[in-house]
Amino acid sequence: MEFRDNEAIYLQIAAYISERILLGEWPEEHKVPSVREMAVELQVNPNTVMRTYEFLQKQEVIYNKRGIGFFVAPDAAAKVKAYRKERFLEQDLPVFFTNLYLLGISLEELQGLYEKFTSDHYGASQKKES
Amino acid sequence: MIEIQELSFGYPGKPLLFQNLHLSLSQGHIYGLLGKNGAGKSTLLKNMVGLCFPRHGRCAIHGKSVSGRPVDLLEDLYFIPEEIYVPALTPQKFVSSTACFYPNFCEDSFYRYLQEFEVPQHAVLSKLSFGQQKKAIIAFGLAANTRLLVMDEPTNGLDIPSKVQFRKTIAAALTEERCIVISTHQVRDLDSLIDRLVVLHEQKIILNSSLDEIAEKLTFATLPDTAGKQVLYAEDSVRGKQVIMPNLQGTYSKVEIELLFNALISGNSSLLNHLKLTEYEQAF
Amino acid sequence: MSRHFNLRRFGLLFKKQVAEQYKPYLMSLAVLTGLLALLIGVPAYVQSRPLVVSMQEFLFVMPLLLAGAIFTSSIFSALGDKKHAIATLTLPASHLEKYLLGWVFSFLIFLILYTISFYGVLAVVLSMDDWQGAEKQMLNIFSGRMLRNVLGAYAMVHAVALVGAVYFEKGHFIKTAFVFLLFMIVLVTLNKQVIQLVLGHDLSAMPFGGVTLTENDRMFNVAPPKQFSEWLNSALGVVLMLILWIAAYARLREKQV
Repeated sequence: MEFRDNEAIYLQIAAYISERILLGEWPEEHKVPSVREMAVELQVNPNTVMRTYEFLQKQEVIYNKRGIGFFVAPDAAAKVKAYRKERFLEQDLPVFFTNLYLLGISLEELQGLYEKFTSDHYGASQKKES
Repeated sequence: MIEIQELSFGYPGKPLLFQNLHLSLSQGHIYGLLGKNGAGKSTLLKNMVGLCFPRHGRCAIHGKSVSGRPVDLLEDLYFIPEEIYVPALTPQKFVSSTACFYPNFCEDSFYRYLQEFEVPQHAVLSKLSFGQQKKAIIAFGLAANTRLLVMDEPTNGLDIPSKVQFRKTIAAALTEERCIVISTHQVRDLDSLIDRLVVLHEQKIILNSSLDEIAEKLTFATLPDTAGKQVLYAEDSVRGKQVIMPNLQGTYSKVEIELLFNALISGNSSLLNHLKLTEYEQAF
Repeated sequence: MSRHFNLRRFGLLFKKQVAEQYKPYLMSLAVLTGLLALLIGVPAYVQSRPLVVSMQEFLFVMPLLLAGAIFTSSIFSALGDKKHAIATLTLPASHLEKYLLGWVFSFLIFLILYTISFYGVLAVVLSMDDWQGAEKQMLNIFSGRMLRNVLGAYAMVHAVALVGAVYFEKGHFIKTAFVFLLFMIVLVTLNKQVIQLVLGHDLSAMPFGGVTLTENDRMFNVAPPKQFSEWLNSALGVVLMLILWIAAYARLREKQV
């Protein structure tokens, strides 16, 4: 896993796990790799992975079965989505809006671009929810 | 685990490398020791493992001074210097002659590490290339299962696949009882592996904190320009300015260790003050 | 006591030393035996007389002291090489055990192997010599006086060489020999000068020995009674040897890399 520059590693690992969950690779009640396994796979300090797991546990994305390990929580995908949405609205959208405003891009122009983008990438019939 | 108090050290007839140096290291962490060339990283490590004796002050492991090199401490520590010595033996014979000195040595792990590092088991160690010798000794040091493992520039001489394997192996080797100290100036080899940063500069330890604590207090970013921002340190790069700012939003950016190191040794007192000030504020 | 000396650990240390060094040691032994064969064989062959016991004694003692000094000087050479020194000093064994290992190899084992090698060569050479009808005589170093002298001389040489082995980082033998000679010259000169100053006479004097001076064409020899001086000299020798052995150990404990 190549780590990007701007985000703390433990958050990047959290994003990596969230992605597995959103893509359906790790369904509910799926056993998450142990801290050690994850640390070895990603070549990172086990303490960092532990921090990721604590963070995801607080978000109720994974939960700890005593003595067995971590598992994907029920409803994890929805929680990940909710969390990501919140972060997007809070952090990315203001930057995006600033750019729209500065560059004088109208909402109509944006809507056209958005529709083209979704049909190009996700097909005409597919919707976000599917 | 390691307590260094008021350490002053210089080789006989040479100027002091450390003066009144304090450092304490605990179990369950991988420490990255950084310092400029000639700052005395290797010498500090040697003081830790009893190869040098303080002129003043004390180095203790589990409360016991290492200066007399007592056997029970030696049994529980392994030191891998930058330049290593290997006898004219095969790994197998080396284990049968030397592993017996380490009470917790695990032979199975040793052979597993050798295999992972792709070091031939039946070749005479002294006839292998430097990188292969180093990997064999790293494998031995890890298999010795000592609570203290000290490595001086361990990735020097390792090829790219070996560096990857090294990170994996060290990540697997860290336990709550273990303290791993790695000195390096190739930060990029290890920046995701270490969780605590120790910086040695001008005879003293100027920083000893976890990367989490640093990320809590400082934000690392690349900005097109720095106008109107409270910047503690900036460096020009192709993509704009690489900057260190106080972390005001409470977001966690990745700690750019090289940038931080450059900032610290450039004599940037505002940065150090900020790191210390927040510590002080948090105490209340 | 197990902190400083543990027999099991010493055994492991011994085993490790043999495993790592047996090749150079065996080669040295082969070379030594070859040299002894040359030293004993050539005079036995060239002379028409048989190899008498006094000659055998000389051929035993001189190579013993020289080869012993060279070997002992090299016994701690690992400490002179930074990389090797780190491996040696961090090995979990006490300083006493590491020191004794060097001592045992350079003193006991060397003496035993040298003696075996010498007698082996001697036996072969003597068996080839025809002795012109005389009864064959072989040196016996195990007789009380001979044994004491040989052991005493070797221990002295060993103690000096061992200190040099720990003190110097390389060129142990040459440096030790040089310092030793320098020390002897200074000692002899000082001894003579000081006594001359005290007695106000031109005289000849050796350290630990008597004084001989000439006055009005008559020679005077001033010395303690022979028995006492012998006793004094051996006592001095033993004390000096012990001091040197302890000094080598102390230096090993203080070794820094």
